[in-house]
Amino acid sequence: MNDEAPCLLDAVHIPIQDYADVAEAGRNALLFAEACGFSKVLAYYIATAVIELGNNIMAHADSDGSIVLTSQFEDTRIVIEIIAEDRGPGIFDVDLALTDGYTTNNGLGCGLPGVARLMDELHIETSDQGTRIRARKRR
Amino acid sequence: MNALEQAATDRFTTLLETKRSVILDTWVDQFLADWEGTRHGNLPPEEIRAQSQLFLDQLHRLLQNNFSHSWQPQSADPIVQLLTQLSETWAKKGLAAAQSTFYILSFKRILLARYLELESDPAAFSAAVAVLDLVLDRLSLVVVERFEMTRERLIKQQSLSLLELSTPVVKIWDHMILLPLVGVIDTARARKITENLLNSIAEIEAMVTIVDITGVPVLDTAVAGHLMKTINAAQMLGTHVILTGMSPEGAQTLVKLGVSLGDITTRGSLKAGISEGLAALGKVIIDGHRRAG
Ligand SMILES: Nc1ncnc2c1ncn2[C@@H]1O[C@H](COP(=O)(O)OP(=O)(O)O)[C@@H](O)[C@H]1O
Ligand SMILES: [Mg+2]
Repeated sequence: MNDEAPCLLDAVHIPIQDYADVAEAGRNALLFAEACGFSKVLAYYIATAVIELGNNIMAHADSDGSIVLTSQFEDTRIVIEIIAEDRGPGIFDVDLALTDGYTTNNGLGCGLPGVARLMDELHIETSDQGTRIRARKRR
Repeated sequence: MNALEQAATDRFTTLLETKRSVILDTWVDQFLADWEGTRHGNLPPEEIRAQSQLFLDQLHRLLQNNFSHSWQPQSADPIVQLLTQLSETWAKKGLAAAQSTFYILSFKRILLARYLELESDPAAFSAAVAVLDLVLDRLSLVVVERFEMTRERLIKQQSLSLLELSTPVVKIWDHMILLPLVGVIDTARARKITENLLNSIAEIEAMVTIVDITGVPVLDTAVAGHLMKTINAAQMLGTHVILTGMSPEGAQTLVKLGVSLGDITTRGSLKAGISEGLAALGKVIIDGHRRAG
C-alpha cells in the first residue's frame, strides 16, 4: 500500500446508490484521469473500470456503496487508484468471478476480468459483510 | 441541563403559550416579506401560517417534555417531519437554500427578542441563547440537509427524462434509418430503444439501419450487451446493420473487456456509414458540381 504517498489532486468520493451515480462516477473518473495527465485511452480505461465496478455494486451487492478515486506518486510515476466498496453479500467465488463469461446475474460476465485487463493491479477483499475492490493504473 | 438553562427552557415554553399569536404574526410577516420581490414570491401565506402554527405547537411540546442536551432530531419526530416536508416543498418550488434557513433563523431572533423583554440578566440570557442554539441550529440543519437532498434528486430526475426523450429513429433515405444513441444506456432505456427501432424498421421496411454511438460516453460491458441485443433483434428483421461512431478508445476498451459485437459492419464516421448504406441500397453518389463543370 502506498497510503503515505502525497496526493496530486483531491480524492474524489462518489456514493453509489443508483445507476445515475455510476454514470456520474464514470464522468468524474474520465476528468480525474485526464487532469492527472493520463492519455485519452488510459483515461477511458479507468472510466470504464469505474463503471464496471459501480455497475457490479448496483447489480450484485444489493446495498449502497461508494467509489473513491485517488492519485499518488509511485517512484516517479503517477498512479490512479480506484476503491469500490459495498456492504453486500460478497463475491461467492473470486476465481470464478475473474473468469470470462462467468455471471450470476445474466450479465456478460466480462466485467471483473475486464477490469483486471484494463488496470495494472486488481485486489479483491470480500466476505459476507461486503466487498472492497482496489484497482490501480500507472501512467 | 443546568438550572439556568432549565429556567430558560421553561420561559420559552411560557412565551410560546402567552405570546403565541404575536410571535406567529411577526415571524410569518418577516418571512413573507423576505420572499416578496424574489422571483419565487408566490408562497401561499395561509399555508405558511398554518405550518408555522404547527411548528410552534410542536416546539412547545418538545421543550416541555424533558428537553435536554442529548436531544437529537430523529426522523420520527413530528417537528422534524414537518420541517423536512416544508423544506422539500420549497426545494421543489425552486427557492434559494438561504431562504429556507432564514425561516428558522428569523424565528430564533424573534423568540430571543421576546425573551429579552422578560429577562435582562446576562447569565440568564446566555443560557437562553444556548438552549435555542441547541434546538434551532439542529433543526435548521434538518432543513438544509433535506433541501439539498431534494435538489439533487430533482437534478438527477431531470437529466434522466432528458435522456428518455432522445431516442428518435430518423428515416434518412428510402429503406434506410438512423438510430443516433446519446447518453447512458441502461436496461430500461435499451428496451425502449429496441422497441422503437424494431417498429421503425418494420414500418419503413428498412433494409439498412445505421446505429450511431458517437454520443455514448463509455462502452462498458453492460452497454455493449444492450447494444448487441438491439442489433441482433434488428438483424432478425432482415435489415443490414451498420455501426458508426465508435471512438478508437472505445474500440480498444471493448477488446480489453473481451467483448465482441458479433457479425456487423462498422464504420468510423457517420458519413462513411451513410455512403456504405447507400451503396448497399444500390445508390451511387455523384458530385453534381464536377458533372456540371
Ligand atoms: N460487488 C460485488 N458483490 C457481490 N458479487 C459480485 C460483485 N461484483 C461481482 N460479483 C460477482 O462476480 C460475478 C462476475 O462479475 P462481472 O465479471 O462484472 O460480470 P457480470 O456483472 O456481468 O455478472 C458477478 O456475476 C457476481 O456474481
Ligand atoms: Mg459486471
